[in-house]
Amino acid sequence: MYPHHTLEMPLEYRSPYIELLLLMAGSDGDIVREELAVVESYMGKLMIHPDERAILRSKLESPRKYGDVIKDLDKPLLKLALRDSIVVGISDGVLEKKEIQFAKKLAKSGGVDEKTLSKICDWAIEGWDWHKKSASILRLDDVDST
Amino acid sequence: MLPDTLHKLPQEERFAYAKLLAYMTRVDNELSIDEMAMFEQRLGTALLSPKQRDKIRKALKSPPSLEECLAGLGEEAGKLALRDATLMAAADGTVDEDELEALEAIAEHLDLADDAVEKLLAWTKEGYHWMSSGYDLMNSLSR
Repeated sequence: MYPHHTLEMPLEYRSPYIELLLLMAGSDGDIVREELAVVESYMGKLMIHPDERAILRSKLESPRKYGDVIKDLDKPLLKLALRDSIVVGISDGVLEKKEIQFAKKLAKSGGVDEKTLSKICDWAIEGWDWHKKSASILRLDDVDST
Repeated sequence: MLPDTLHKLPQEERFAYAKLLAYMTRVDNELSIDEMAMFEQRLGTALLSPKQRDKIRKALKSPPSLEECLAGLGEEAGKLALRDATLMAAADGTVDEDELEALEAIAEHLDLADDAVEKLLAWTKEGYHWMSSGYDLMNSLSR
């Protein structure tokens, strides 16, 4: 069973988990602010210590190799990281070709087939749609934020 | 965890947003681990500087008054803060009376429709179903 609550994730897995999200964010060669905000939100959700977060941020510049990072996670967590990396990938509105390639690579490492990967992508898009509904409830489109 | 416009706001607006969330954590005098995780998640999304995050975490111990929090909020930051305060209040599974009163007070300050909080609570419920379906999807992979 997967931990229903992310806080149940053992401490030693949290940093490599975030490293995978960072690798997804950087997979198209360009980390945008939207992606960074989502990765930061996962660091917050996992309640990673501020000092450790600083170390993880430094990995934006010098990431560890994919093969080394996945060695630090078990299969269930690779699947969970796959799901959350897709949330990171779509945060700027589109899953780029290189991000799709990264997701496929991660799916293979986690033993997830393409059909299931597609289901995970659908789930992420449903979440995106759900989140957008709040903007209409709050009439955020009417706000002049300039 | 999902994208929004929060990170696009000026830094002082994001700080004011986070102060309001810090206020919300203490409304019912209980801070559950779920609420704390949601709070930290939203601080992450706000892309505050480490120093600002330290200040906000200190505000958890002695939260500012609601009036003080609202005074520093612009319209968009205020609306996002109300939305995320609703998510946070519901993070432990229930929204108690004190939390509901605080949410209604924020909505009133923002001059929102009378049913705005009700709609946000329904939206929050929908979101928790979506998150839960994400876990169900993961669990189905382990069978």
